[in-house]
Amino acid sequence: MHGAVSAREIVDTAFARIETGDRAINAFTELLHERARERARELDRRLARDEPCGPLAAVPFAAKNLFDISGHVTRAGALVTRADASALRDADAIAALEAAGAILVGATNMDEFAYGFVTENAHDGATHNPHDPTRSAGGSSGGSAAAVAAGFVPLALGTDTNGSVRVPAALCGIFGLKPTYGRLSRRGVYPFVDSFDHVGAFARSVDDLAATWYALSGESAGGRPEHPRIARAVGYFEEDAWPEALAAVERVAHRLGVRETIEIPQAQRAREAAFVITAAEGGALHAERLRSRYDEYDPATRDRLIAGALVPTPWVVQAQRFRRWFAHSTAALFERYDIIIAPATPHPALPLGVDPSVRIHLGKYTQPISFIGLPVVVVPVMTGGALPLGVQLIAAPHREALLLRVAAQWEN
Amino acid sequence: MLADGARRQPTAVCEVVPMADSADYTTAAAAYAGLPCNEAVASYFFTIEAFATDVAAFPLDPALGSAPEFDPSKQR
Repeated sequence: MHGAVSAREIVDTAFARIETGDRAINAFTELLHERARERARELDRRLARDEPCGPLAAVPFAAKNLFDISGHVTRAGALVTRADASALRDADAIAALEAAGAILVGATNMDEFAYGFVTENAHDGATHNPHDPTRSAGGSSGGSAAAVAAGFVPLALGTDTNGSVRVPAALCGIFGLKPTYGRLSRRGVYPFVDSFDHVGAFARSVDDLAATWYALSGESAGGRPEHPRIARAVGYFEEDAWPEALAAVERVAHRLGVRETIEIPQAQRAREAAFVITAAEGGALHAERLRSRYDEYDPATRDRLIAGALVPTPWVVQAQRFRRWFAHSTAALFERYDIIIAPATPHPALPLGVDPSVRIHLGKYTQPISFIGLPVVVVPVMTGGALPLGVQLIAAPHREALLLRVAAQWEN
Repeated sequence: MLADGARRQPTAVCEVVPMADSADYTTAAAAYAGLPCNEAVASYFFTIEAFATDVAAFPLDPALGSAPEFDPSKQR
């Protein structure tokens, strides 16, 4: 690092790239010039004194605009939040990356209150897919995924409740990590569905994703070499898949030498139960504000939140009971296999403005997995067309390091 | 603790009965909650209802109780 390039130059280059390129993408909702440049100056002073600056020294990163940023209002993709008080401190995830030397340069676009898979925001506009700007970047963390895919920043933070890291990672052709439920702090993250909310991350390489994970989690890199037992999910995880999605899984399976297949029992019901709990918890969170500020909500969000607020309690309780059953049933599969691979989405990115009844299927393969909090790394796959797809590598809880090693095997 | 069809008699302790008229329910429930109701709200509600009905059709062991704990960190 010594003398090669300063942190200030890295940050200035990132801003120049964003200010030029983001007119076509609309990944960012806010740029943090002053904060980032002050942070860069501090890092340059430390570098000049030969002080350690961390494994992510001067790496610019972005965060979905539901992460608290000290001194700024946490927007969460909404209009009704704009007059809220500013955050008093950074979200834990932002603080962890900055403690490792990274520099936050901006906040990114998302579906309102994270309730969507397309990042077509009524207030901030749609985020465009860097591979084809007429198409969706996926969501709800679409701004973060597009910012990484467009080369504006090498890393970004997102959140994943039903697929909101994995869907945009797949549609933008980058790596995405949704860790084990409860593993990373959600302090300073605007909530959506407490039962399923996860902090996650995006990167263009496995090395970058791994460095981000170790900075966020505090775990040490390493781990013993092993030959994981991997199976390809069939049945539910093939239904409704376009040929490209199946081809993407086949390519990953071939590269990793996967020959065995497995069915995850009751995956359809897991998705249904996730849908019920999402609606009810999201509706309950917003019911009070919907009464007084209905007109300020995105129409695409508010009607679903209202429907969720009307869900009878026994439906939610039964869905949570089923969740417990499904977690134990699926855990048994990991006695036979270390990793299960499955498509991330049924198809590549769709044109912007597509009917909501189509969008909902983007979460078909991700919802049953986040329902029980399993860790997932999405690896990008180009299948011959112009648009990328993603494949989920799914493991038992707390096996993120194994997933990253296998993702590296795919990448290399 | 969990349902095991080979050894235990599965029982649906919580059964969701499709409502006789969901449209009436959404209108009344929204009014009670002080929330506006429209066709889109009713349509989303029907989807949730259909999913909840299918989830309820899956037999679960009564030992699961009504307030299940879910903590994947215990699976480490």
